[in-house]
Amino acid sequence: MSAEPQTQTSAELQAENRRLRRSVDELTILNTIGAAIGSTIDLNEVIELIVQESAKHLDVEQASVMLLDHGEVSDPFRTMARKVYSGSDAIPFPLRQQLTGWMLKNQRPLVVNDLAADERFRSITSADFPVKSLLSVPLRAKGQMVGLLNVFNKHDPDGFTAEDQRLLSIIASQSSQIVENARLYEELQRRSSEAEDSETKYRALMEESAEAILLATVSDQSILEVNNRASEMTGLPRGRLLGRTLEQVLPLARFPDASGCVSMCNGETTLLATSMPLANSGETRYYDISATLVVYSSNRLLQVVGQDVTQREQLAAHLKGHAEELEREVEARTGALRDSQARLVQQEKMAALGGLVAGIAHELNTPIGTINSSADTLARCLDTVRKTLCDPSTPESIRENKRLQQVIDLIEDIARINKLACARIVSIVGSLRNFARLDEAEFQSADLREGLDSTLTLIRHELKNRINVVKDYEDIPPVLCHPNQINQVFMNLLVNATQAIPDKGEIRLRTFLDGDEVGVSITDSGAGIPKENLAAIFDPGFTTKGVGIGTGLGLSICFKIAEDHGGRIDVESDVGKGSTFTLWLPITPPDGDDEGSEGKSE
Amino acid sequence: MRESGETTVIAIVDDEEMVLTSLRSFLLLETDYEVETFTSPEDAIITLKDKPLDLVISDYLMPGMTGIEFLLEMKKIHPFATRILLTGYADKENAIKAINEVGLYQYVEKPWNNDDLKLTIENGLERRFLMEKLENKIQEVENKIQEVQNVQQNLQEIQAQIIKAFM
Repeated sequence: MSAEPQTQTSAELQAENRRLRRSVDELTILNTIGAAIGSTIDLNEVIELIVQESAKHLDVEQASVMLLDHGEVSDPFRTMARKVYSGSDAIPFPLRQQLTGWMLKNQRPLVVNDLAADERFRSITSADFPVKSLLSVPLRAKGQMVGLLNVFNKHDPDGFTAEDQRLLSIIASQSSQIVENARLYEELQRRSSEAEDSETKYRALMEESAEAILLATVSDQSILEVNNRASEMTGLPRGRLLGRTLEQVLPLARFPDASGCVSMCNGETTLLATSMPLANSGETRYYDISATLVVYSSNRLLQVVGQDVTQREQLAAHLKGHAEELEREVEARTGALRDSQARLVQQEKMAALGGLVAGIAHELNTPIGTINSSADTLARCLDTVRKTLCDPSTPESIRENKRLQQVIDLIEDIARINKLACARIVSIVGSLRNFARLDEAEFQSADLREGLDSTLTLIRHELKNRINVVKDYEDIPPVLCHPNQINQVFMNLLVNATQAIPDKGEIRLRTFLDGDEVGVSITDSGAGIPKENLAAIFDPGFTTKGVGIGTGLGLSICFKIAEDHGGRIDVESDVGKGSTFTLWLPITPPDGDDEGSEGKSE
Repeated sequence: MRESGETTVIAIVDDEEMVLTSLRSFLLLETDYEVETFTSPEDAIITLKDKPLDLVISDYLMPGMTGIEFLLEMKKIHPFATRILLTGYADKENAIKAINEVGLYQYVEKPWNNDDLKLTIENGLERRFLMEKLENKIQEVENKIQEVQNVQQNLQEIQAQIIKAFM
């Protein structure tokens, strides 16, 4: 029998033994770490385990794991530095920065046994954490570096060996996936809890919102989610809203289609409809409808918001009604003001005209008086001449002179015509001054028949030969009035009467006493007034005459004057037969007594 | 006609020549009055001061003085002469006010009627002569009274002397 196995030297045996032990150690480490995979998925626990195992098996003072924070790759040093575990916070920042910098750049294990002597790290030793030696290996997942596994200050003064590096690399490769898994899990946890949070919050907000909210897809605008207010707004329960399109539910609003949604920016709100009426259970409420493109659980959705503006609408309608009412009022007042202003202007004009007329009448007195008197004297002179011619003592040649006779006849004729013409002028002047009496401000006792006759004289040209005037004057007492104003009424009524008669006709004037009122009626055989116009004829501005003929103010002024005298004007009219206007005046106006006596006492 | 048989004198004052002429020609044709016309009231006062006057007709509105002021002067100079105011319509109010102040007999409105004016003048003159006659009668009666009183006085004196003589 061979003694071959026994021939191995003790040295070889020892080496074999060490190798076996190391393998056992490695297996133990791997086993421990492997067990950890099953035991926990918590990232902190996993890392703590790795740090402990590394420190124990590599016989060092400190161990640490640094992780790259995914998603924030722009500043890897700082983010990596944040994830330092197991006391490696104490590692001075400059060293961490240098270390991670070097590792990211070189992506391979690093061994430093005398930091003070190393060109790369010498300058950064710190009294707080005296680092003499260090060993760092990358943690890799799916070929990407996800972090570092570091150990510092080996108790063996010779420092880290190649064996140490191999061992740490084995631990790192074993840990990498676990760490990455744990990290991913943690990330997932965080994300899902965040999502849950935001969804809960969103739902709460939706329900608490005073506005109706509908969420719909961008593509076909079918409704995915609604709140209670949306049901109230549309009058449809949640169940009947979901799945329908926005158009079906809110037919009056114009929603952007899929392509329209593309042009909308995220979060930008577009107003689709203002004050859109929606009638539910008999009551109409008004809504402003707006749409916003939102990203919800990474889906682009159309969020439609309906704001109840019924109150605003009601207020607006109320205000509008109020404003319209005010406008109408203002218009009415303005109209009344304009009318009374026009009346005032007209009266002012009449007064001015009255003054002018009186002045002219006065100035005419002297020349007319002279001509009138002279024509009369001339006629008397001719009488004397004729008598002389007839006297037998006058020579025959003169008595029989035909030419002389002819001239005397002519002079006689002219004197007669002059007298007639003068009489006419005297009558007109008399009427003028009677009409435009200068006693404007005072109530005076006046015979209305005189005023009527004066006015008739002044409108003689309107009558000419076509209108026959019939006077039917009953005895009436004098009336306390403003005679010039009453004459103005007569003038208006008489001119209207002549204008109402298109061709030939008759105007009948009547004066009569009825109780303590005097009536003056003017009846024309004219066209008459249609019933629909009868109520309006005293309104200022109403006229059926052509432009330039009537101001439409005449009758309204007459009405006002009659009112001021405590009287009134009545109208009766038959279309085709004619009209009768009757002015009624109290013999003594209600407040005329005072004014009258005041006027006289002055 | 005046009792004394003298001509009746009428004065007319108006700043308008045409009025004066037409009035004068009418009166000269129809009456035997002596008609004096003046376009200025001041001239009229000066001229009429030393002349007999029976009736004066004056316009109201004239430069220098109004018809009322003028007629007031005439009243002082010739208290018995009848005063007539010839007015335009606008001056009527003033004329009425002056009736008492000036002792106006009548006012005549322009344009006037010749016959009416003639009648007014005739009536005014008749009144003026009656007034004068009355005045004369009163004067006569007063003179007679004075005479009687004088006679009475004489009688009383004589009576006194007789009594004295008898005592």
